[in-house]
Amino acid sequence: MNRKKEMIAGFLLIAPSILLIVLLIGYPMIYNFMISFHKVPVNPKKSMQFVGFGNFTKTLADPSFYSALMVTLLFTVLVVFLSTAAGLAVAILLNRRFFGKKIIKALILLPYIVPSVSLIFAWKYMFNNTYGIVNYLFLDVLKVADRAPLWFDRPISAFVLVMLFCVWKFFPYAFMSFYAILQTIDKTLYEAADVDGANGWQKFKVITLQEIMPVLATVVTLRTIWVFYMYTEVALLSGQVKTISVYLYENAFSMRDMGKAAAISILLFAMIFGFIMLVRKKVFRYE
Amino acid sequence: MKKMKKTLAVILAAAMTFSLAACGGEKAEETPQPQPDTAPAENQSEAPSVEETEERDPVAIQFMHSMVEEERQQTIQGLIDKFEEEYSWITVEQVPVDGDSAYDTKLTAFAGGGMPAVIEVNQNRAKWLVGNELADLDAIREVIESKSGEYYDAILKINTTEDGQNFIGVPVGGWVQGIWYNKTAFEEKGLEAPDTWDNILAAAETFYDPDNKKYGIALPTVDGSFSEQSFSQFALSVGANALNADGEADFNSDKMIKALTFYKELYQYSIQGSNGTTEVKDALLNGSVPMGIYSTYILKDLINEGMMDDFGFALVTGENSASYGSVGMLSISEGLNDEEREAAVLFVKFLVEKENNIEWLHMAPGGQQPVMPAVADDPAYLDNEIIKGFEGLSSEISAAFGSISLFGIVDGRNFVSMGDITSSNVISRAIYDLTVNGKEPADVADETQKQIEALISE
Repeated sequence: MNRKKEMIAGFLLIAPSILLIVLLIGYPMIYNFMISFHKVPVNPKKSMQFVGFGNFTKTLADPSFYSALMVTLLFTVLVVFLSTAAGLAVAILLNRRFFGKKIIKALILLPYIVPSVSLIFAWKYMFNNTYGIVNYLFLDVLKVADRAPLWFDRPISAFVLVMLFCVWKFFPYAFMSFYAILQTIDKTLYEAADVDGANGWQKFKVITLQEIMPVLATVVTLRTIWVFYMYTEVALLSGQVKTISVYLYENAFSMRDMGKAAAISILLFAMIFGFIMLVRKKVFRYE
Repeated sequence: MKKMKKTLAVILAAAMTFSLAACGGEKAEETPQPQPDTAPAENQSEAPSVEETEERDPVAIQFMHSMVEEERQQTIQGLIDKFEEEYSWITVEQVPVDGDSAYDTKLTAFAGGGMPAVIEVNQNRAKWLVGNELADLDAIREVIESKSGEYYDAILKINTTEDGQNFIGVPVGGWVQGIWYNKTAFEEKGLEAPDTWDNILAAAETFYDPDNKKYGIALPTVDGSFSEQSFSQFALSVGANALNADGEADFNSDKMIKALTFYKELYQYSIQGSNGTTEVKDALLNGSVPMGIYSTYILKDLINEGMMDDFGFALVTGENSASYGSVGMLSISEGLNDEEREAAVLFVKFLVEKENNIEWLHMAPGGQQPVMPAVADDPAYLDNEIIKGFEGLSSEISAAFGSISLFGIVDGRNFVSMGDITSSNVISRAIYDLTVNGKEPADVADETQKQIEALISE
């Protein structure tokens, strides 16, 4: 009986949160799902036209959707892997006492706290054809090329630069998360491993990786979701990296095809949700 | 219980994924530079009587505009305060929205419900509002008719609806685009002003010296509306238009291919890559190029850099002269109740009164040009340091207003479908493909033709 009362009390306590989630997330989700089956006029006074699975078939028949998806998958895998690895490496490196540690930590956090727009313009200036420092080094100092490469206009170089920018901008998040958890690991575990003659890799694999696994799972999950849908950095740095968020934005706001945009978002949601569930079940089985 | 917990966890995870996804879509935008100049102006309108004011029920309206800079918002607030003082039952709330794409995003979102009563738009957005029946054409006409005969003819030509019976918005200011060139450099080389295709090409070839980081021209090539604006001048100067007289796609005509071929040829001598407004302006101001295509918004920078005397302004001339121009308009939303509609009409009328319009134009002196001769000649308008600085070019700029030609205006018909074509970026993407990606003019023309046909059919 007590247990039942506790359950009811528990549900009552979380009821406001659930209500908020239903209102703020549930309603838009349901509405989005509904309009994905309609042709949606911009003018709300005109009625929506039911098109069945038309928006889904239109999306799935569009080759641009698949190319955007492929670009996004590659982009997400690389950015998540590199930013997580860089964050972890730097966190391990800094998880000791040394002079100037606070300044270095502050410098590492700098790209993460500076607004993206400022950094994007700084990068664009660095790679500018006529006065960018990168081209100055390539052309005038090192003399490795005759003409300035069109960094942000060629799909491959644009992809690499946007990816590097995102890794540089977002690895401090992984760094902060790992740095915090590393500080909680009991030092005696490493001492015991030393006594057993474990090398650095073995200590990392058996102690560090196991201890940081909950944080690693969270960082990878959150970063995957963020990077998969990343728009600002990708669209502002170069128009040539056609990720799925750019494709979605163009459909929603350039072509103003809200029905198709809703269908795309449903497909993406299904994909990313399935992927996250799979990863958490198969890869991060610590739970 | 375990199953329930698992279900709850899945729901929460799904909600988290969705909410995080929803957080990732805001596009930050570049903002124009602030132009503080808030010359006070006297209000000439006929104020309602005290009795009339006391009898009225309060009404609140929103005014959405793109003036996000603090000084400009203060100027607009000053105008609103003055308006509210006169019409005490009306409250106006300004809704500033930053940047081009964000503006489109917001406008689309607002269109879904709760449009602001008054919206500042350019002609393309105005066409889009009209095309989607989101603008109150009767209210707009009421304001324009109250200013009968006061607008330049060229402005009204841009401003009419497709059937010629109505207006797409109430013009408040405008800017023109053409070729800005360094007169001194041209004289030194013995070159003619870059007004004809031949003169432009000859000058670009002459100045092209990439080994010394000097280029013949700064040509807009960015995958954005700037390229469409720039290219449209070349196309329209030989009579090529994106639509024909029946409003059908006409992008693969011989004349259009001729214009595309010329633009590609000119690009050989341009600074390379994706050139947007920043790249073109920087190149003109830092001397990398002797000429570039830009709007009157460069005037303030030329004056501030002490370069105004060296620079001239030319229009692209083929069979005829063509300049690109954008008219800033105020649109009144469809679907307001009677009180809101009346308040919106009064507010727009107030903003286009001479004194208030001068105050509006002084927010971006030089950039935004008058759309009414009476304002252009008014001593209060001319009494501004920036405006005084380009007095020598005023005749060229006026001529540019007279030569404004736009894609989508054919034989006097202003096709609203052009608003959708421009906002879809198909033409600017074509220019990017033509120049930066080196595609063939005929291929670009055919591809764009198909895209425009698809857009119109939708």
